[in-house]
Amino acid sequence: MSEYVYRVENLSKHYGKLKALDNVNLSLGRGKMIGLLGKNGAGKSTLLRCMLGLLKHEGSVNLGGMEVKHLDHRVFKDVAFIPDVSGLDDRLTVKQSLDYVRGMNPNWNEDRAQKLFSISNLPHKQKVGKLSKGMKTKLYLLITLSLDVKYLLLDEPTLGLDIAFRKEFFNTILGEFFDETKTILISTHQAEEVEGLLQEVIFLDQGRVVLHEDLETLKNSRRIVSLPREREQELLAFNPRVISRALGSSSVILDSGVNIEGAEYDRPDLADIFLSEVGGSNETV
Amino acid sequence: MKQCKALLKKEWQTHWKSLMAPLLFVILIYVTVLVSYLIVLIKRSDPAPHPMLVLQGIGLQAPYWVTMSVTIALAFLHAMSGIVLAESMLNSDHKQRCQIFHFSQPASFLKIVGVKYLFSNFGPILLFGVVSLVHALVLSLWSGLYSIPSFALGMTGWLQSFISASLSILFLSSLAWFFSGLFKRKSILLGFLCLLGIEIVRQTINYMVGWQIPSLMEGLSMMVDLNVSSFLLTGKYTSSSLASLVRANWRDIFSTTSALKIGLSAVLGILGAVLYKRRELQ
Repeated sequence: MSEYVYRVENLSKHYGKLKALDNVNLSLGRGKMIGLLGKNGAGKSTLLRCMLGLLKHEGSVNLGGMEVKHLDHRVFKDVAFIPDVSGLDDRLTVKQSLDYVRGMNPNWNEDRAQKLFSISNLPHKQKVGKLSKGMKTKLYLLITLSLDVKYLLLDEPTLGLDIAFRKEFFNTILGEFFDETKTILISTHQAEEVEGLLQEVIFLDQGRVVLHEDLETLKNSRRIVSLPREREQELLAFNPRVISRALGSSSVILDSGVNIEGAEYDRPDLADIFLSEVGGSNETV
Repeated sequence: MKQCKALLKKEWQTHWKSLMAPLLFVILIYVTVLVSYLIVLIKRSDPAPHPMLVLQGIGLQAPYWVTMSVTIALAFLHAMSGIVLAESMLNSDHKQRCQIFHFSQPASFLKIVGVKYLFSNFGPILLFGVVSLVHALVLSLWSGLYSIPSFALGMTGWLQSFISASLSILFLSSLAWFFSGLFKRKSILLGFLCLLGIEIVRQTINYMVGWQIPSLMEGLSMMVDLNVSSFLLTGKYTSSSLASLVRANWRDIFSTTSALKIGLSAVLGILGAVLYKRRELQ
């Protein structure tokens, strides 16, 4: 088996004149939990959908040696996907939805499904269309996690879920699904929720991959450097993308090799690094 | 096979109302007729004339005429259902925003669309067959009480009109399927407007240039038309003239026109599926 099983090469996608993905290259290994981070409109959903052959694209997507074509069902023998909007069929009941996927998908794991649904409070006789947004998301998550697949692509999986279930999902449920043979690619805005789970991160900005790195290595290679506000110019000399100003001091994320006399150092979290790489809501320089 | 079963079950669960609408409509007609009949019975002092008495005046062909007429009337209802189903099969997933859910299953496009095509075309034909058969059985027996009894003739009328009308339903549903593949919304209306547009252009060209281009509308009408001739039988038939009519109708049913209907339906089915696949999922 090759080291990288999900390979994306020179992937581009246009929506009319808009370039949603711009020459994306990625290789995803097995047994990893990978975070896909990007601002709104960065192209995260488009990337995931192209990887699954759900959207027509330029470039190549290769899964375990198989070239993924438009609407290629073979992908779903190894991959399960949850889109960012609850796309379940509102006309079916909860039970009918389960029966449908059970009949359609040979990867259905009945034991895991029983276990997952026993801890949920989903009304089986209710039409999906009558469920709340959170319940729909929960149903989609549980259906998808009941599948024995090698790759799980989650696009904003916990959007609309309450805090309790989000925590349970990331801390318990997802952990039960994950093992060293599986890869999970999670696109999310809530970096802090997944940070503890991730081994790799991909930052996407304006349709381009700006960073794809091991998270621990990334955190070790950067640090927060803070100086009193009057010494801010010393920080600006490093051309940081973002500078944070608070309580009389200025902070930037810099290479961990940088040493400034009298500066305070701190370990950055994923959100800090993301902002420093792609810019964002903090004060952009 | 398991996937086909799951797909068929899902299509039934999401479209049973459209499929069963003709049956509900028939039941509604029966209830209305029964209630009206009872009201007339209660209000009138003299007994109401039996509706089947009219059959006595028709003569030999009565069972044939009755089963054919009723079957063709039922065909009209099921053709409507077929058109609605074809539109809904291809476009309702898009409207419900659940296309990705269905296309995220490891079932081939051919299987998913094939089941949709079978359900929207053969579902109404199957139901039409069952409903019209029940009617034909009852009518063949009942009409025999008021005219010359001929159960076999009644059932022949049913079978001929059923086969003929099924081919027309198949063609109409396939045409609707094609338009539904072409347009995501209001596909039947837009398809009809396209045909109308083509007809206007054709007539204009023929009028101005004199090319005498044949009419597409006329061609389509021919495909929708029932192959059985003279089902509204008038005049008196003898045993031999009725037998030749029945034979003539069999010849019309197993003709090149019928083969053309099946062939064109298949082509429209394939074209609709290809157009559907070319769409971008949303």
